[in-house]
Amino acid sequence: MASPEPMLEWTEDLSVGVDSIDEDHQAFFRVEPMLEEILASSDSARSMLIESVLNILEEYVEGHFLREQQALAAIDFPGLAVHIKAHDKFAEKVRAIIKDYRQGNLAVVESLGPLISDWITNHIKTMDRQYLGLLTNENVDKRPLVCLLDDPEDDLEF
Amino acid sequence: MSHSRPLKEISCLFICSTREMRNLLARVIQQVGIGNVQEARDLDLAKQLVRTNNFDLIIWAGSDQDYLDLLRHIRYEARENIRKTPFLCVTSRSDMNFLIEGRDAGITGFLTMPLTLRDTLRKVNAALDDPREFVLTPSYVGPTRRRKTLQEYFGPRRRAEDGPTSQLQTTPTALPAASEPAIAIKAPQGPTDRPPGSQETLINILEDQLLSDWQDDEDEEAVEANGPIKHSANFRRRAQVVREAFRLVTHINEILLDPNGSPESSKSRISEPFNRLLNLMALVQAYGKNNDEDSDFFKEKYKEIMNSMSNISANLLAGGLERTLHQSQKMVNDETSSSLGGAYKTYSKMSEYEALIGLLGGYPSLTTAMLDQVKQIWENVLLLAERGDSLGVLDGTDEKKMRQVASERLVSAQTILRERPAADSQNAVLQKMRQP
Ligand SMILES: [Fe+2]
Repeated sequence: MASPEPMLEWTEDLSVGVDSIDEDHQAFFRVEPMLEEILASSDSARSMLIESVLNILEEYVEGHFLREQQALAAIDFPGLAVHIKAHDKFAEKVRAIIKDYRQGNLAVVESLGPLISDWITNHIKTMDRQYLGLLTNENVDKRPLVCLLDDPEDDLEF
Repeated sequence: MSHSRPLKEISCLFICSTREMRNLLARVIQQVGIGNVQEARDLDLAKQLVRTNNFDLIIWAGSDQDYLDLLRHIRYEARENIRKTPFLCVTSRSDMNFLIEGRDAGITGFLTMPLTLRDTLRKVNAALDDPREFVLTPSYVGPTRRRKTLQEYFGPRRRAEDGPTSQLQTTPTALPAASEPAIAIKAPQGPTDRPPGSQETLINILEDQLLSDWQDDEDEEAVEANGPIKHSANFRRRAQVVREAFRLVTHINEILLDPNGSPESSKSRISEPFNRLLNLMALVQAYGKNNDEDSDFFKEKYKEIMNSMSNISANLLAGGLERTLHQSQKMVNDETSSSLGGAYKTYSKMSEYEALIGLLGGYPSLTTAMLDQVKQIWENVLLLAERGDSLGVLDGTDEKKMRQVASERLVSAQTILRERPAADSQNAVLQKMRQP
């Protein structure tokens, strides 16, 4: 049951002029084709693959939003509160869908990919554009987004 | 923990033969920040590549064991430059044989599905930074198999310093039965040809039963003796119990989330790992109560396992109670059924759920709706037992015990239910008083 609409992709006109943020955004766009491919497969590891994508999506959301918010906070961006609210609302939606899936409503993942692509496209065009020129390669954390996440298992190493 | 070179400069060979997995893992490897990735779709190509190229890291993903051939080739035959290359295995397999064979072929580490970026980064760093000595002997080539940290995983060791357990491992012991209403460590029954059991000895015996064994490798013993880090043998064993418990949680989740599994088949697949998990958790709980230097650590771990468990338990419980209530109600309504058999069936089902409820924190932690179901089920057990036609399903003592347990549990459920509305209305009064 593929959606009749063509899949949204990241294109140069969506660039915000910061490499690390552009790369994060591209990662969001890649969730949809990845999920679609897995959902169409009959691989015996299918549920593990889906579960992995969901884990990673959660990390994308957490890490990327942190990257933007930290950078925006550092430049005293006036629209920060509104921007954070937009992030939180989406994060909550994603979390709810994932929770729903994990509680047995397996069909919900089918709509997840398009939802992410849609949201990220809109969000870049309306919200992220506002920091165009303000955030640069110099004032944004360049590390892979996983490095921005705190590691709950850090205390496991001894 | 940081190795000398940034991940961006690391070159990695990555082998995976299934497309979906390959595409997913390629993303993950990229997101973790590894700069140079060479992809291979099959092991033959990989073998050719390691003949002429050097890599800092090799990652294989899959569920067969065909990678062992490549791994052995690298460890035994391949050029000096590639011989010691860290080799990670990404897999959803978690059976001990799979892990043991990988370990014996000289694997550096396992990364188990489902993946997270965090976990992948951690394992990649650990593999690149592997502090273990690299052993080159005729019988084994690879990182020393003596594990030093929990993170590096793997099993309990049976050595003299592990205490009296080793001589006792053949002693048959009874594990706490899953049908025990609470998790507690029960004294092993059976032959008592061992020294007067301290709690510690008891726990060691349970550990030995719960964890698969690893063979000690004699020629590594010498290398190891000079090893820098030494956790106490006890600690290593305990850490492994924790690890194993986490693994089982993942495994059970996997079964529960399997879209192809029917509720019936997943239930039967879950029961064995679930019972093992209950037993392991009883151990971890006991470690937390030891009052030694490590007990805080294990208390924390117990909480973490409990948290992951609660979701599973709550889901299992919700479905299970509903089914059991429904079935027992049907038996109550149907005058012709063998009611004593029905009573016993319901009773044994409930004993399983009581273990789950115990995990969640007992009756007080149940929702009112669930508690009400529990109450009704126990009522049905008693009703059915009352109508019992003594078809010889149970002998007298068992029947008596069943009635006794059922009425006790019924009373606790009723008591808590009675106290609840009172507490609720108290809250309501307080709420009102606070309003202007
Ligand atoms: Fe944003």
